[in-house]
Amino acid sequence: MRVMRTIASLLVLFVLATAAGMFWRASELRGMSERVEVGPWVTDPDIGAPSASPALRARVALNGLLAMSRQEAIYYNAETDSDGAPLRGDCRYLVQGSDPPARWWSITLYGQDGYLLRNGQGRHSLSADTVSRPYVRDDGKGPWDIYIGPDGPPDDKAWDWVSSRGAEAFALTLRLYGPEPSVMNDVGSPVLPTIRVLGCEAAR
Amino acid sequence: MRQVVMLLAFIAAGVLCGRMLFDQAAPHVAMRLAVIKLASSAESDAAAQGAENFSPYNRFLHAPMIDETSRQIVRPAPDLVYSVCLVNFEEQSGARISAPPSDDYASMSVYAMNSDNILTINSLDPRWRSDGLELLLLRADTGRLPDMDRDMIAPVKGARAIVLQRRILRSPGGFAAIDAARQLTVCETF
Repeated sequence: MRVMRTIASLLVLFVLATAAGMFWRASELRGMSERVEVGPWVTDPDIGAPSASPALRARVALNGLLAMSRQEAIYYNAETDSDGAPLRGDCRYLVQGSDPPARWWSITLYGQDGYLLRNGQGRHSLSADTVSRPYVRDDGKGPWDIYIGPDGPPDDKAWDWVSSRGAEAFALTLRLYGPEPSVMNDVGSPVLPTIRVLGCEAAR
Repeated sequence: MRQVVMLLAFIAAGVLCGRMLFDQAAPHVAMRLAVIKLASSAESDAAAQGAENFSPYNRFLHAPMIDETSRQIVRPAPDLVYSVCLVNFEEQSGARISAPPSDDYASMSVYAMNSDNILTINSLDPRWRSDGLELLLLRADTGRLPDMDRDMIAPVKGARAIVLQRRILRSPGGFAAIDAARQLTVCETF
């Protein structure tokens, strides 16, 4: 009887230790990545790759399930501005850039939960097709500005606006589809948009 | 003292087991949960529309335009239109994915149930652009392969996979045309 109780206790202890190991590994992998930083943008070049090791598969499963390989699309995420401060829903930002080296691109704003905000605007992203460019080069590309804030930009600014209303904090995802070979080979190489904070008081 | 050391070693072994088990299990669990979520959602939608004997497997499920109510997959792209096929050919030989040529960018990705991205092709690829796309999903241990481009054959362990179709939505007004185009894509077992 005493032996049975000891065995049962050891079994329970082993199960608890195993569970602890699993939770530890999950929290470790959720934040882990082979991070490549380009200014405020961060990407993981292994996301979407045909994975080899169990550890890499587990990391991809937690951080990029059903993503495409970098030969098809590259995903850059920003949770801070270009100075490293977290992106906040009560602040105003200007995302400035030019068309990145890809066949098509988009920038999308997500809430802390990873879903689109109920911002009352009905717009959550801008893309190569929808962004306004004051001028374009011979290759059809050019610079652009995207204003992000809870209210629209000042009247004298012709900036595209994506509302962050309803967000305490938010993140941006820059998707490059059909990236140029130079970016495929080195995801840290492209010049990506800057994210500049304009202020954190009420707009205007 | 010796018993304490043995006990600590026993606990450490359990923790190590847990870490290894997580690496092995996490991808499969994540994919199973994705299938369950997508299948359940499709069944609910079908029931709401009065459909009978609806199976969410081996057919393309076409998602509506992504907006702030979209909560099935984290970080959905509102500039993309998604369709997914939950492939299960355990009772058959394989599955066939076909799509007509596309005027605009579309992609087809095949994911194994351990989350590996087995194959991706886009509509700009000559193999899709010219005559349309045909992919075959076959068991990984299939001995004799059909006489076709080997790059268009996806070996699948366990006869289950997820096929994800993405199309660029250049403006909200373009959704109707994209929706019409994707209705012509096929995911079926044989």
